[in-house]
Amino acid sequence: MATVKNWQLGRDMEYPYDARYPSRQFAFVFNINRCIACQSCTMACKSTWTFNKGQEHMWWANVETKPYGGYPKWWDAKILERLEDANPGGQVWGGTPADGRFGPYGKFDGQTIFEAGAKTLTPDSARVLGYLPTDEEWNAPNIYEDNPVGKKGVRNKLDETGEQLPVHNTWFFYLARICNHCSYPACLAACPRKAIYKRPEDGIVLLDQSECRGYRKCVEACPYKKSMYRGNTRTSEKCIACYPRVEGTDPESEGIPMETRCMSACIGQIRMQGLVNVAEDGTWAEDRHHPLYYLVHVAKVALPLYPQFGTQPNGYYIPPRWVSRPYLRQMFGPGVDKAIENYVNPSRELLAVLQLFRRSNRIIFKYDIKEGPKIYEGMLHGRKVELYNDTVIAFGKDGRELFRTTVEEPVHVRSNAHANSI
Amino acid sequence: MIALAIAPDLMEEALLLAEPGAERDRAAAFRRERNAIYDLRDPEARDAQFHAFNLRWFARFGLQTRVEEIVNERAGFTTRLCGARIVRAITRAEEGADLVDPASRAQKTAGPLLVLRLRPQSLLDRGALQALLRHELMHVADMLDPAFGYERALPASDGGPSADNLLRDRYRVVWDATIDGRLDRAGYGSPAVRDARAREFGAAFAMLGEAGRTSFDAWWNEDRPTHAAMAAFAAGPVHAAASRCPVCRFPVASLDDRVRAIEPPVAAAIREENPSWRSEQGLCSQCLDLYEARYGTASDRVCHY
Repeated sequence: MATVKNWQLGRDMEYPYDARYPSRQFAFVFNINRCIACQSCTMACKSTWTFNKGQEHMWWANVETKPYGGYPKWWDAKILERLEDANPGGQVWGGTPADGRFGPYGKFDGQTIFEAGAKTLTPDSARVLGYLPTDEEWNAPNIYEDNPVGKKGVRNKLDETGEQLPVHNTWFFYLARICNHCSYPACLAACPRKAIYKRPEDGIVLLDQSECRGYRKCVEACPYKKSMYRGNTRTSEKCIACYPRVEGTDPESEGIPMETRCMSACIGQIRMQGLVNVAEDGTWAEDRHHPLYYLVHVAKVALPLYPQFGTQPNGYYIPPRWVSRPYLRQMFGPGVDKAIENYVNPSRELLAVLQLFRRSNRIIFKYDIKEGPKIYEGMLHGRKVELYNDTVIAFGKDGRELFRTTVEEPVHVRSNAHANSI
Repeated sequence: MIALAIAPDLMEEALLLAEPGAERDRAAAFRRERNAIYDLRDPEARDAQFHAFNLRWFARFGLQTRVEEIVNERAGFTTRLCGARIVRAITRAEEGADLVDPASRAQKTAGPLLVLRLRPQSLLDRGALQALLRHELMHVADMLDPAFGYERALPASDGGPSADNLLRDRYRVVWDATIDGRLDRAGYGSPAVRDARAREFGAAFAMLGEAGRTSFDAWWNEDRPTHAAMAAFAAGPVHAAASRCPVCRFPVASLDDRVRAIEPPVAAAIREENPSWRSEQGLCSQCLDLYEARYGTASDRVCHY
């Protein structure tokens, strides 16, 4: 095993291959507070990439109701249990959150799936701790939809204080998921054929169909279960991050990098996808006015999904503010409290950046803010709040303006002239 | 000896699951041979090669023999079948055996077709597979036995689909009890199976109370059950007076015991909407929950959502 730096864990970790970093990394932020589980993303992906024979069970993009739902069923609980079995009581975070880009959530003192695999598995399969889901587990992609958590130990009754604020006792939330195009992919680490690779130009993780021989080690190893086996071709498949769109080679993109199908279809405007610059040490290079860099490293409102698995996933989530904090800390790490605090009391800049979500399908590489007038002053959560109608301007890869939008949304009043006109 | 046709997808998945448990050399040979097939460009030729490969390795891993041995323990009835197929089940609940009519007229004279539904992982566990197939094949043996007098449809009840479902479920519980009882006496049982069946029987026939235990013992020890006797037993309690809620008139497995401690405002509300109802008649859990939620003292606390 080689030693690599994992900035999310705030420490070095073991990985089967030496570190190799792309110049840019495909990454995304999902604002869970906004997701309504309309499944538009799910269907956009399905109708683009997985509508063929043999792919019936495949949902590269899915939205599941947490805490009970999951595709495949119990995927996260199962891998968490295996890690706990491998390192009883040791899967904890420590250290102090760093101000810089390395270790912003403190230091993870437990074992990753690579480290636990090396310690607990037999030599032949020692690369990654994982499991192969059964047919039944793949078979119900939206199981337990809208099922909330009630009072512990009380069946068939709603918690009488379930709706209390700020954290609900009765809760559920929607977790939208795609492949995280991890910096240290478990699928890549596990493949005995080296059929999986990470593209140097954008960090997208792809599976070479001509090299795959259907060992299914990637399916077993991916802790997010986003690698799937196709019976009729006898090869595994996974999300390709709609790479022709990201490259700008898709005919629809007209040469300009475009966000993926699942992002573009998001009517809840929860998603933003981009390409972040990667430094030589694998951390995100300083890029103060990149919206994803700002959300993850400056505002610190967006957090990686299960960072403790150790794959350094590139999907980030603004955690749902109404959900039990211990549950969220397990899912997103110790940065949860600060992320929610910052999201509930947004800075002037954060409020402007949040307006960038889904105003365009083009990939945003930089933003700028033009200050506007104060439009509101009042109290919220016992704090003074001031709102400014700032204009946020998005720029594309070539530095040209993509669009501009304001904090205060424009109001359209329907004309009396026609019943259905705006 | 009956020939088993095993669905290709079931066979292939079972092989892929069996591979990690195989001896090192054997697993390496399996992989070498399988990987070479991927080099074939023509999809049809490749599929054909995979099928042939699966047939070979299903036998080499001993999975074919494992299934055949268990099925052929039932040599007595296999001659009355036109064939046997094993297809892939997705869930544990889907696993089982059934008899279906063959599609062609010529085959119909040769008897029905045995269809077994199994999950791929069930083929790997010899003990569990034996237990499952012995139980399921006993069902099939009964269905083919003229003395058993099996009929596909149970007598129709006048209670609608929910009553029919109850009847079917009770019939299944009785039949399962007689099968596991017979297997137990043949040396294939275990105390855990008997306990599980007793619990299932107790839940399905809760209205029998203490007498349920005696009934269970009788069915467990029955060596020559018949379809008619089991159907009559299953239907009996359904037609009893207590099997229909006096308020909503829906058939139910049992009325709710909590009615003894019903709050006066709740009882008054039920009587107001159902003047002929008396608390001694009882009511079902659904009705009791509904009236308690609307008129019980707890309703003030929970109905403000």
